Amino acid sequence: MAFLTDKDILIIDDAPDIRLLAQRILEGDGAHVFHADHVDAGIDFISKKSPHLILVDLNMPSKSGFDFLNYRLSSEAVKLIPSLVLSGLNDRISVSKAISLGANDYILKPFSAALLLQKVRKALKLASFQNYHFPEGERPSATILVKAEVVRISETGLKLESPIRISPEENVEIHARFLDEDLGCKDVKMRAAKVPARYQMEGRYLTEINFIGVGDAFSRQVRQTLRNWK
Amino acid sequence: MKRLKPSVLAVDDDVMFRKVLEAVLGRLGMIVKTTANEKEFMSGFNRIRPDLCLIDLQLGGQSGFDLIKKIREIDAAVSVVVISGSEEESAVAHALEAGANDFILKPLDKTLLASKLSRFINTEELIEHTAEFVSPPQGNTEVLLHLEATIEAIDELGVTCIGKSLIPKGTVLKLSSGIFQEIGLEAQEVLVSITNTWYDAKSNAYGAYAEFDGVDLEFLQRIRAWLGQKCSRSS
Repeated sequence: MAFLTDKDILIIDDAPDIRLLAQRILEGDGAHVFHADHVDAGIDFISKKSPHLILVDLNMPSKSGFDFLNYRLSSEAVKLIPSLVLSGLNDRISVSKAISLGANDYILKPFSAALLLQKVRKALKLASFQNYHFPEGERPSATILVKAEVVRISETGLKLESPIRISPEENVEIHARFLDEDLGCKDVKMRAAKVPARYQMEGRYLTEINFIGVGDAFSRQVRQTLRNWK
Repeated sequence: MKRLKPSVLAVDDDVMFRKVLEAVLGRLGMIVKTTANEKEFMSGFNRIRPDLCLIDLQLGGQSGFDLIKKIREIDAAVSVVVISGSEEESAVAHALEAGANDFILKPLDKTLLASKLSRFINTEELIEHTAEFVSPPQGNTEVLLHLEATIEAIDELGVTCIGKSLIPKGTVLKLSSGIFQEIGLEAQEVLVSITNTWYDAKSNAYGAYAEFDGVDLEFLQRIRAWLGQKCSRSS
């Protein structure tokens, strides 16, 4: 079933191959796709023919996707048009900024057909998404795995920089070869300190982590390794 | 104005250990009172209301854990550090669950003790004896952080999780859970991107919506099939 039949979609992107790729995918689902290779052309199009949805690249020369979003915020009519931003894989900070400027959602490049269609359908509320809520008591456990950085370390704990604001006294596990093997931390219990995590810059938090249940044997191994590092 | 010395109340049934503790902690700038059993400790605790409690777990049977719970019933905020000769993992876990803030293994090392206690109380002497923090050399800094969470709901775009920590929008991470294998996905780990976060006051926890990152058709089909079964069974 073509979910996007009779939907007009505007794509604002200076890269012709991205515009063509999106066009192929969206027309395959029944949409009419219109192109603009810069922000002003996009705004001009919108003033003449209001699309049902706008896809806008964040990173463009001269006026950027942010400029478009700012313009959108200033117009009561355009604010109502669902707008998704396209952004490069490593540009999460720009994505957060775009969402705070009113973008409805984001799509990271390179994108698959499945993902683009999902996001567009969701934005246009055209597909019903089945949703299963686990009853209480049957909720599966999960582990969140995220890259972080140890900035300082001692025999009693370490200071960790990560994108997560770890709550005071939360139990954590931290693994890396140098921790597990060189410092003997493999089975050491770790816990965030009572002191709240501190916000650094650009979405990073500094958390103090304590090693729990350690004794002098562990301390000696760590001291030796730290001395070698110096 | 002269700063008041922090007070420590300890319990340990070994008289020699109590003497050593009094000497060491006294030199580290604290006022120390030691007790030999739970009854003496509780009497001291109610009278003094110390800044820090040092509890020997091996007070005979379960009483070390019970004592921690008793302290917590009276004071949720006082710092409680366990000292024990037992290296058993379960002892550490039980102590933390009972409400202890930290756990040190005997025999005590002065630097380790000072470093640990300096996390909870402040004296100039503690600062002098605290172990130094060092920067790891280049190439030895990246780690993988593991945090616990619970999955509340699944839809074809992503997963709703609940955990104790706030994960900001835009964070990319891997979510590992047995449920993904149950769904028929090849891997137990999926790459997700957090698109929404909120605080749930009732459970004092943070919710996050984790959208599947890099969805392919096969992945979608398996999730839809699983959802189809689950949703029709529960309706």
